[in-house]
Order: sequence, then structure tokens, then C-alpha cells
Amino acid sequence: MEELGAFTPALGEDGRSSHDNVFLCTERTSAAGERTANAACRALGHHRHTWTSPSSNTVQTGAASIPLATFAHDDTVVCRCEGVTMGRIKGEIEAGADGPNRVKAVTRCGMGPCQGRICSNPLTRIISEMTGSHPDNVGAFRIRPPLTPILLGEYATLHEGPP
Amino acid sequence: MKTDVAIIGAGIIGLWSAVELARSGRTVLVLERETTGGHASPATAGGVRSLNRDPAEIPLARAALPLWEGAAEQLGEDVGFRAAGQIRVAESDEAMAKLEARAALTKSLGYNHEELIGANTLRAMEPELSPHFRGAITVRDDGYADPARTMGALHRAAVSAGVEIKSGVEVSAVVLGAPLTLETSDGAVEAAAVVNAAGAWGAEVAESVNETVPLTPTALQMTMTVPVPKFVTSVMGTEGRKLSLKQPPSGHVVIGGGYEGSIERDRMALPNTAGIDENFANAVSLFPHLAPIPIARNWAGIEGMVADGLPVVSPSQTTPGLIHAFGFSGHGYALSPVIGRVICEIVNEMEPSVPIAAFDIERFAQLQAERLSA
Repeated sequence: MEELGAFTPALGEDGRSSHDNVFLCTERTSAAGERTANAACRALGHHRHTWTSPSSNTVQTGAASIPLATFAHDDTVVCRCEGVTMGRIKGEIEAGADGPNRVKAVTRCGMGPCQGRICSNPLTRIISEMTGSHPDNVGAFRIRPPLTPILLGEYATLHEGPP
Repeated sequence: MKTDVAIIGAGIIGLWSAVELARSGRTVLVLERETTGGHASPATAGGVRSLNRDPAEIPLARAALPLWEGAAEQLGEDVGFRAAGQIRVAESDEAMAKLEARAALTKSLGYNHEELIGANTLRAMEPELSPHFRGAITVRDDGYADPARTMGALHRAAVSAGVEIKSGVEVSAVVLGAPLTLETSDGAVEAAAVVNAAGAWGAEVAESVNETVPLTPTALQMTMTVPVPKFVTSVMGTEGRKLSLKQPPSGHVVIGGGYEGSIERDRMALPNTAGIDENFANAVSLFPHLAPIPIARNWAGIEGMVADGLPVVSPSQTTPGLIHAFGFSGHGYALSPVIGRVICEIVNEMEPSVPIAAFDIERFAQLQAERLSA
């Protein structure tokens, strides 16, 4: 991850973050697939889908960036929730989509259950590399609730109080 | 800079108007303060509904349907239109009585698109619907389309029809004259006709030429779940409860109903998660199996809600050459193709092909007089 310019959290060996009560595992720390993720969660005593963490716990490690074009191709999936490919995104940027929120609106990139956690940084880099604009100026997706998928029924009964 | 027609706003109303006008032979310049489809246009749930419309809007809503059917051909790409039907269900005898009264009203006005159906027909149409509903009113040739695809298709169709779309250009004044002059952040623009398609900010443009419209910019919010196997065909609503629910072919469930988010600074719309539990409770009452489905996202877009719930589609009374088309009060997406056609007809000095008298800015003359005398 680091050599691709990703953010990685600084953690203790048991997954402990700089906040005493916050532990991180699975794709908040690395990309190693579902089985590894589930095993890591079991080790921490949690079911994977009940586990969330605030993104503010991530820190930049300052790794050098390799241009995305050297390892991503037109058929590379950038947003796996909505199945949006690099080629589709490049096409929309060429057609005038000038920022992450524009690309999102026209391709659904970042609109799936992970809410752009996987594709937000790569998309900013794609736009930056294609337009020559600094990533800080390209910006990122607007943050929208829910920050992690919540069930419709849970939400529907939010104000009914405990049973 | 000179053009035949200048359009303020690259939302769905402005772009449909631009496409029609360019194809009628006019040179068209669209001036957009932000970017194409930045607010209500892509944020709508995308319902195309003539069901339960205000009687004044029924001719427009019915005339829009064949234009939606033909939109893919007109714009050169699929905009996701499906004539899947719209159904408004009743869960009590009282609600059913209201639907019966509604059906009687539209029939008395000479329309026959709304069909009252009983519980058995309803169940045959939507087998997964909770069995406690008494009946419904339906329009079988209503449906929905995909707002993001529509905006992309319109933008490309406008550009290929020769329309110039300038983003990041703000109009600061409409100056009387023939031609009219627009003062903009990108210099002056002379135009024989100007279309005010500024959506939630259309009343500000009207106010700048001394016309008052009681409009409240309002953030309307929507919710989308993760994709699930197909369980519903039509767009569902409920009599007496705020809900619209649909499942496009992608499998996502789109839930709306007019619940309000908030408007932050810089015209940023945010969903308000505090009040939306009622919206989801309404959805789950129709389809209990949705309770364990994860919500993928909430969003909101800023729409112009006019006090009487009807848009302003009208020549200006103070500024000859200026035509208003804003304040669609949540109905703009469905009506947009026919509004584009009507705006084109007005600019080209033809009689509008559908009646628009109910949307004249004249109806706020009293308010206008009070404002001026205050």
C-alpha cells in the first residue's frame, strides 16, 4: 500500500491505535482480501461487519507516489462497489468532469456501500494526473452520511428507543 | 459577446431549453455559476409522474411522457427511462376514500390516466407489497428515469447542437433593452432573449428585475440502499404519508418523499439524518423485507419551492425578452422535456403547445404590489 501512495494507520502490534479504545484491522490497515480480514477481526474479538473506525485515525506515511498509469489500465476497477473502471472515469474527465464530485455524479464512483473509502484517493490522483492540478486543489468527495452502512430497519426505529 | 438566447442555469430546465432552442436554429449560450447539474437536477429521485399532480400540471405531465419515451432517440443516449408505472397505495379506509375522491376529480376534469385499483389488482401488480393495503391509484405509463445519465446526455446533446455552456460564470444583472444585456463575471452578454432557469435561485434573478416570487430554497433529501434482488416494478407512494420508493434495474432501492435536509454555506445541501427515520419507517411499512438492507448513501439537492407549489413559467412582466422557468417545487425533472419545448415556443413567438397560464408570474402581482409599497 505504502509504495502506491496510500494512507496507512500507525498501529501497535495488537491493532491498537493512538486512541485507547480504538483498534483497527482489515481494510482500514491493509488490502489482503476477505479471509484475512475476517481472521484479523476474529483475533480482535469482532465480527467484520460490525467494525468501524473514524478515518481521522489514519495518518500519512509519506510514501513516494508512482503514477497510477504505470499499474492501472482502462479495465482496472477503481470503484468496486459500483463497478466503475479507470477507462470510464478517464472518459468522463476528458468530457469535462473537473472534480471528484462531478465524476461521482456521472459515474456513481464512490456512491456504494463503502462511500468512497476505497476509490476516493485513487480518483483524486487520476484527476490530478490527467489535469496537472495538485491533489489538494482537486479535492475529494464530499462526506455524506451514513459513514458506514446502517440497516434501513435500524434507522426506521431510531427514535422509538430501546425495546 | 452576442447570442440569440442566453440561458441562466445549466440545470435540467436550462439544458432541455438549450437543446430545443439550438435545434430550432437559435444561437444559445448557457451561463452557469457552478457546473452542469450542480443542485436539484442530479439529486432528484428521478420520478416521472403524472399521478396525483396538481390539476394545472396534468397537461404538462402527460405531454412530458412521450418526450421521455423518445428522450434516448432525441439525445442520442439512454437516460434510463422506464415506463414502469406509479402507484399510490392506501392503507386505511380513510386513505382509500381520499384516493377515490382524487380519481373522481381527475375524471371530472376529463382525464382518464389515473386508475383506481382494489387490493387484488394491487397484489397482482406488486406481489411483494405488504398485504395490508386496501387499494391504490395508479398511472401505468408513468415511470422514472436516471437523473445523472439525463444530465450527462443533455450536456453532450446541447454541445453537439452548437450550444455554448460556460461554467463558473455568474450573472449579476439583467439590463433592460433590445437586445437585453447580461452583466456577468465574464463580461457583458447581449441577447435577444434571456431564459431564467436558475432553479432555487430563480427568484433572485426575478427580484433583480423587480419581480417578486415567494420561493424558498429547500434541500430535498434522498436515500439509496445497496443493490438487492428485484422486488418492486412501479414507483411506490403512500396516501397520507411522505414516501416515494423505486428500484431501478441496478437493484438499488431509492427512497425519497420530500424530507428536508439543510442548506449550509456556499449552497451546499446536506441530508438531515435526524428526521428521516419516519421516511424509512414508511418504506419498511410497504416492504418489511427491506428492514435488514443496508443504506448506502443519503444525499440532498437544493430545489426552489414556491409557496403555491407551482412553478413560474412565464414571460417577465417588467423586462421584455426575459422568460422565467424556475421554482419547479420538486416537479421539474418529470416536466423538464416539455418545459424545454414550451420555452423554445415562447422564445420563437409561437403559441405554447400546452397551457401554461397557471404558471404566470402575474399570480404574485398582489405580493409584488405590497413589496413595492412597503
